[in-house]
Amino acid sequence: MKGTPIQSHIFWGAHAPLSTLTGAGLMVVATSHLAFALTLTGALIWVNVLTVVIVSFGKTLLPKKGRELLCVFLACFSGSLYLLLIFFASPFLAMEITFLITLIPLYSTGSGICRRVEGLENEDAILKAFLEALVFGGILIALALIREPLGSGSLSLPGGSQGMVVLGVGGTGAYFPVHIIANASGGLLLLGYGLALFRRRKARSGGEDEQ
Amino acid sequence: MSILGELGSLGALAVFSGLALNLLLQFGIGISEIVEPSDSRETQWASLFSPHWIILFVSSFALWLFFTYVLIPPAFGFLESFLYFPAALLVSMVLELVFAYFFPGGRVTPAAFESLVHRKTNRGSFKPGKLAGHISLNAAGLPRYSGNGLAPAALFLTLRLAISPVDALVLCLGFSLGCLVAALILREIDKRSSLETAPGVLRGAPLTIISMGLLSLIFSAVSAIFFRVLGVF
Repeated sequence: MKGTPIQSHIFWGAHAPLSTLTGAGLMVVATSHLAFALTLTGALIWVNVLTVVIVSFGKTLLPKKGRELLCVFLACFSGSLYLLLIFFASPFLAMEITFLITLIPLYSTGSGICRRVEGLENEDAILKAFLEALVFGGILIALALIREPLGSGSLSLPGGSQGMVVLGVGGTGAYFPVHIIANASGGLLLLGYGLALFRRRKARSGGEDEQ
Repeated sequence: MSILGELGSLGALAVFSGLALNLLLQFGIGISEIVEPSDSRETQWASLFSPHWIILFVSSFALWLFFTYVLIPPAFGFLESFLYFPAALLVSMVLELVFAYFFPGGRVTPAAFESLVHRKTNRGSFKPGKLAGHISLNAAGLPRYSGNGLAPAALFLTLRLAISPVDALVLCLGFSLGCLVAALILREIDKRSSLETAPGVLRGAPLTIISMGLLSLIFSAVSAIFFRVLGVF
């Protein structure tokens, strides 16, 4: 069976993360620290790819009715495996991001990836799942790179005995972090303006014609 | 004194329930699924008769009972939280089908209640497959309201904060009412943004998200004042 080519652009298309806003909640809560954003990008890729791999290769075994429900269970199972791996690597980090990782299956199934890759060849389906997760992860990292230095005056990376290594950005000089940006309220404001900018750019680049 | 203490803790919980609105706005989970497209024929208060708030309340309370009393806590350890989403989805889906069976119009109105009591509607047998056709689906092919993150988020918070069934009841009720108020506010913002002169790129989702951020800021400040006055946390 020949697969359907990937039609929607992964960044400007109708199913792009900023077009659907399925993961708006995740974008707000996960971008307060760069360490969280990096770990969650790994989680996104892991959950999306693993779920699609199981769905694609088990196409003949999985029932057609209620496949969406099965995808929810598969995504949650993949997410719990990732958390377990993080727990073995750094228990402190795992404790801090447990709630955030539980939002990943929610985003993954909410984006409808399992449904959209149904008609594709296995390789195309896996590539699409990987690229979609990578794009969303890229947005998370970009937002975190703006929010953390401006809001907290620091930059964190996953690792170390405490789960996170915090690097000072502002130094000890007269640098006043804008705390509101690090809060969820600031995240929502930044996301709103970012979305407006995205729409403007999309309209200019003719992304709307594609839809 | 103990009665006063109980009342105090219940009051604190009620305030926290109000906070749930703030948390909901902060997380932005599932609210886009709840805010229905504006319909000029319907008033904004039509949302009050939507069964989804009742489904959210019943499912989060039922799941709290299940995770507290039925499931053995150490069975799954810290991985237990990954059961919240599938469990909430299953319970909400069943409730959504039950509501579709009893209230075919999709609204819990006095007229629908009257019809239910007097058995005016010929409902036939309970066939989930047939009833599922009346439920709107999201992009993932899951029921629109069960497939969002509101029930798991409510469950997550209730499991961590409630220590008795009364606490859980108050929290679940507060969360459902908080969601309802949030939906009403967001629908009004959405309606206003289409009427007022706003830049084209800001209309719709961007303006709604920016408004959510500002509302979140206000609720954070108000809840902090309430907590200070009550002397909790």
